[in-house]
Amino acid sequence: MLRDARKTSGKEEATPQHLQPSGTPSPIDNDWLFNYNPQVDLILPTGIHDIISQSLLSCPSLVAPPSYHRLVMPLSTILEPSFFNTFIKSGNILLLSHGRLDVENSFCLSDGVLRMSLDTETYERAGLQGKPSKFGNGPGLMKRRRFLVELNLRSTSYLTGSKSFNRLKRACDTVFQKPQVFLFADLSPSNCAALDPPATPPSAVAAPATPEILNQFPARTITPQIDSFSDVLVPSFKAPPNSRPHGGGKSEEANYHREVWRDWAMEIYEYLSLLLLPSRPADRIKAADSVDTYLSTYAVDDAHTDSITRIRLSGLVPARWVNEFWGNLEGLLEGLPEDKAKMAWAGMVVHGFDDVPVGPTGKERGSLERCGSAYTMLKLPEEGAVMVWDLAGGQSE
Amino acid sequence: TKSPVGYTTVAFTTIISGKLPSQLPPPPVLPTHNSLKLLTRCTLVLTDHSQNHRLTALSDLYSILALRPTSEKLLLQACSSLECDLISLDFSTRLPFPLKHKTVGAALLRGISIEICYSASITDVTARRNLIQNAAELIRVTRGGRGVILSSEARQVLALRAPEDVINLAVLWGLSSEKARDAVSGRCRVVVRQAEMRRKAYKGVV
Repeated sequence: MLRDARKTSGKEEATPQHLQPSGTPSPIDNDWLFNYNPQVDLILPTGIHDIISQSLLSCPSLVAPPSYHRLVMPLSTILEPSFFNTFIKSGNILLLSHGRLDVENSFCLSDGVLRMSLDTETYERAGLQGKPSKFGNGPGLMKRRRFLVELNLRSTSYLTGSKSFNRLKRACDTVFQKPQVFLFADLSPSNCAALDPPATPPSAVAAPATPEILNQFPARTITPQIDSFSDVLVPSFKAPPNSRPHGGGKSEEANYHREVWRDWAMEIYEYLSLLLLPSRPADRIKAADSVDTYLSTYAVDDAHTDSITRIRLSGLVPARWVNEFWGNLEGLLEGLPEDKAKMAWAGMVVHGFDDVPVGPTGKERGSLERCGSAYTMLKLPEEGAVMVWDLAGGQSE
Repeated sequence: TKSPVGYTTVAFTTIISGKLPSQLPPPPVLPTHNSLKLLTRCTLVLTDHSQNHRLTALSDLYSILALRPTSEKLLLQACSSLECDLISLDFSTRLPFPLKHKTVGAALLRGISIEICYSASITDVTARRNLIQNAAELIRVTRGGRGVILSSEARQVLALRAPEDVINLAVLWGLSSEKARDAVSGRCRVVVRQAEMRRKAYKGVV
């Protein structure tokens, strides 16, 4: 049976979004499947979690979780032959530097293209070819503040010893010589082969030598961190009767019903954000909360008390993996017995990297777009559809 | 003919709160005036749910019936099911509940207007502060002041203000000037007409 309600997106700030025709909900089109997220939070009612926890932990996504490295090295390390040939010329990696966007210098290597977001002094000293960035520059004194340097390291002009290579090497040695913190992920399929212990028999294609730097900072795998919180107010996740996201005509009544639906969707989004505060859910949504209305009049609409389980995965999580993980979860929820399936809902909040100078499709980002490529998904109970909230607008091209 | 006061229609309000006596208080006898139209009006303060079945009897006695709910549940009931012409909240004190678009919008759909009374703020500073805050919130919740009317609830003539002054006051609270003018003149006329129709006209299918 087709899942109901294809909700289309609007131009507002946070808006419920499309379902892909394949039935797998995703706010991200194919370009974004190269994207990475720092943290994924999954929330379920504890009752449902207890039933499916074993199957969830042994689902395909969690059995082979993605791994990443946290390297501390100067930028010139990527130009060393072992790294350069293994990962830049032949493999496919993602390298993100730690640093606040538009405040410090940040580096990002994805798909073989090295991008640096630099301030004026560093740019002029480095002597590399770049252009003023679209964001972070203002009129007058602020006019030439930030520069974006984009170098395609996979192109043939960048071979060890070539002119461009040497220019980059000189810049790295003089200007970027301070060791930086990088997050590194190897995307190529031969990933496993490269990191196998030497005792395994060699495969038909000889595994390339692992660059020394990766041995220095061993891989970390993403392990789920499971917490549960009891006595939390949970809304029923049912839209108000007669309200609908679109359609119904131009009459005042139809307009009212559309506005009521939109307000409800935003309230649910607000509720999810209160539930997922970093350490524990907000005090306002605890069942035993009684606050003077002078301080806060927030109340959860038609709420019942329940306990919630949160599964937190943090590290460098690929978007493809997130997609598969959600698919696995939905499969497990569908397999629940009839009476439990009616009440089952699940939410997933995917955080984004705030400080990356370029978004996943290669478009520039500014520091005022604070959430990176973050989105929230919620599977509504009782054969409801999946709602997706995606933040649009902000400083990105 | 333009009246010296600036208004053409005036309603005299009787405020009733608490339990309604079995003999409903009759409206005051109004003198006739050649340029002003005088109406009687009742503002019923809703404190519990038990009085609601007598609303039809009350609205037969007075030309306009306004309800003043004191809690969120009563506001929801007044907006969605009770029969009245206006909903008038006491804006001179801090509202203990937040106003929501869902409840207020339901009232507007049924044709009920929301009233802001400004006379309490003329003398009392705290009332003025609360009035500005509550009026701004109401205007935000009704998405730009749709279905809002303004009136004074003056007990003495000193608390009355001319229509242009009231319009300026509404603009201060956040209404646009056309909406503010509409709140003082157009919408009020609509309310008076609707009240008259409800009592005198009969809807039927031919």
